Amino acid sequence: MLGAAVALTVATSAFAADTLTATGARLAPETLTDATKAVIVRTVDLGGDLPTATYVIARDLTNQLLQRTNDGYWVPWDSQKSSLIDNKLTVQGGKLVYKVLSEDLTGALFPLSITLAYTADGAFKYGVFAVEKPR
Amino acid sequence: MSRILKLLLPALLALLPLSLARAQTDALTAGEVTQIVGQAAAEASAQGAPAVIAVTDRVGNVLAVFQMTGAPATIAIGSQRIPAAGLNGLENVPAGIIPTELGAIAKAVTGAYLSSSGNAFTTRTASQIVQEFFNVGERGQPGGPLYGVQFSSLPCSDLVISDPTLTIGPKRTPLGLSADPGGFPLYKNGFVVGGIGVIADGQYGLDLRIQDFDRNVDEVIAIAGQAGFAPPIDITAQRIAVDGKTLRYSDVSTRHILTNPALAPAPAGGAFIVVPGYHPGGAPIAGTNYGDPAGASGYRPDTAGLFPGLAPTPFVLVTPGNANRFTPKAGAAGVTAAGAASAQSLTAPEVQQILASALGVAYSGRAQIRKPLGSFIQVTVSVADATGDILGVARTPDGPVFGTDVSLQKARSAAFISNPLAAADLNAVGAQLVGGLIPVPALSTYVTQMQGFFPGALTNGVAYGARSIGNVHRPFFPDGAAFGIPGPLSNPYATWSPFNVGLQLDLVIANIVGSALGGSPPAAAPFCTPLAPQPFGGTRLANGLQIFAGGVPIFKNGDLVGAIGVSGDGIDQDDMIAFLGAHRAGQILGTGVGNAPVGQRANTLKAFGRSLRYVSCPFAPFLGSKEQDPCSGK
Repeated sequence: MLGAAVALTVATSAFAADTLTATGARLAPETLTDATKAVIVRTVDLGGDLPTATYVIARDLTNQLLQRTNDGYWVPWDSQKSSLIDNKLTVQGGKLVYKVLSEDLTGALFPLSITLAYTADGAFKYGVFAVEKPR
Repeated sequence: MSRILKLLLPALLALLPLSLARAQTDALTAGEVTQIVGQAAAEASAQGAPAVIAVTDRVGNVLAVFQMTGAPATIAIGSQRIPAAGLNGLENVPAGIIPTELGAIAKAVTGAYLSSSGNAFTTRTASQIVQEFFNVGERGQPGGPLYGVQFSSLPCSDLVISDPTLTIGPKRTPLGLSADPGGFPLYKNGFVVGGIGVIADGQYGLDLRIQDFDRNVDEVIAIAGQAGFAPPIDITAQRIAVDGKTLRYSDVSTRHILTNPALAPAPAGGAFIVVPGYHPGGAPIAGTNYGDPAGASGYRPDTAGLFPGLAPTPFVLVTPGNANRFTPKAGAAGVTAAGAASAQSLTAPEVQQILASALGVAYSGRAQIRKPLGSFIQVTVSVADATGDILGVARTPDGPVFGTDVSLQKARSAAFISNPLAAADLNAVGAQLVGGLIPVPALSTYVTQMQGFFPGALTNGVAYGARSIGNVHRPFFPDGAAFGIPGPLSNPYATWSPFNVGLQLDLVIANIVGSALGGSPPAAAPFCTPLAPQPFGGTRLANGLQIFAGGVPIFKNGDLVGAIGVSGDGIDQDDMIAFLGAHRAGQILGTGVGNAPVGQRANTLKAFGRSLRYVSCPFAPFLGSKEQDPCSGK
């Protein structure tokens, strides 16, 4: 599964910037080209929001919920928003760049779902996308 | 009979279920799969009906697909109910598009999934129990007991496994469960080891006339293939009654076949084919051994001691590494009746206790669909939170596999329809034209219809059991009326068919069609439905809506925090296990967890002079007790 993140060169998603909402946005899926060297980076357009905290959550068909720590490790998440760990991403030009993962995913049970989230002005905004293994 | 034997008989009968709980030790070998295909192909040749023949194991792994020369390349989905100009739903998919092998796989999986060591059901049995009247043609009778089960184990489910390189199940079925005759279970030594599905006629439908006995060529070929792997006669559907009606196993028997299966040659007149997304290699492969402690089938006995005191040891679902996939875990915050975030949520120990209490009810209850009489109930139990996240899944050892996905569907459905945010979730989904072919209305249509029946519905926090949802998702309201208006979540009878039921299908039709045309689940599989995703990564109905009884929402100190779903036996038994499981767990825990407050349940609702039901429990349901009405007053 998602183990400790390894520092590798990252590539930016081919998709346009995502927008997150308070009711949950459905984001464009990703299909990996090589599960052994999976790299996922997503850019989120903030639309004027000023995030006070940022989060990343992952789930695969083993049903484990994991969250990304700000130093790139994956740890269990107990489903409580109050337990989410701030990834401390910084805003650049009105956007957030989520370096979601960079690791070997051959042991994962696909599809994965990744949740990107932030809090801004008291609101929890998020979006979810699916990650498919290579076909 | 001697006096002593008479005295001992009850005790001996009580021991029978335990003896039947022995561990399964059988699986199909590759040679046996080849033999089964050869028997079916020989019969197809003799019938002059070249076929596509699929064989699966008990958990849905596709072991072989044989395509005979001249077999129909594609299937036409049709219920034969509606004039061509009025086709709707899945019947709108034109002939010539869906590959026949997908239909054959769906039929094989259905034969395997519906069956167990206590009951052997076929796709013809499925046809009998999914239609608008039970029995079909008996106008004015309530709908089939498993009305809606056809839309389960879907390719988009987040519970089923879609990777054909993995052996763990449950695997998805390309078109959901099938009601098209010609899908049978396969047995060895009394254990289900798989299923066979055959399509030679190019049709994918169901049987509209139970009063007669057909000579369906798919069924004749399949029963030839099944020779040597048939179930014990005493557990076949025609020996089992539901609501006083005998179920149908098959319209044909081995006396209708033209060949001698024992003399069948190796498969000839065609080729083993690769089915992308379902069968990785052309040659037949061996099946997995269901329940093997090594976990290859995805099901094995619990080894973590999650359910102390329950015997036989309940089963859990496992990962490819043999770890429990659904170890009880805590849920997200619940929701208040006003739709606000609640301070209440289910904890992992509460989920574990709910599962244990429900399984305890199953072990003490008398099964409806299993033989011999006096067997205990075999089911799967799932718990989900109010966002749809899976908090735990466990089962009795021999529950039919279909109940795995269905129990989760029931839990999520009860949690969703009881959620005051449901209307907003549905209203956000606009009209679709699936595949450029199939019109699907905006889902706000169903909200409007529900609120026409029950003002404030889907916003007011009324608690719906899965049975209540079924009450409002039948083509006649109330269920069992011979004429009149449809239930508010159903299509009207003029456009209704089992391939076009209403909200249930409209939520998943894009995924079914997309998967059938593409051979693999769409990339959006974790969502399954067009509802908004939840923070856990799926939707509130991430394996689709289910609309027959066997689930109730779970409340904690007055707020909705999740739901329990049960599937695998009669629907009254499933209802009882869910309801009493939640109730008994609440008594043990003392944390405020339990069933919905009595005054908040859907049986307080009335429309057109008719009340909804919340649950319906069987009378005198226990093996070792004379208690008659265990759900009353709770």
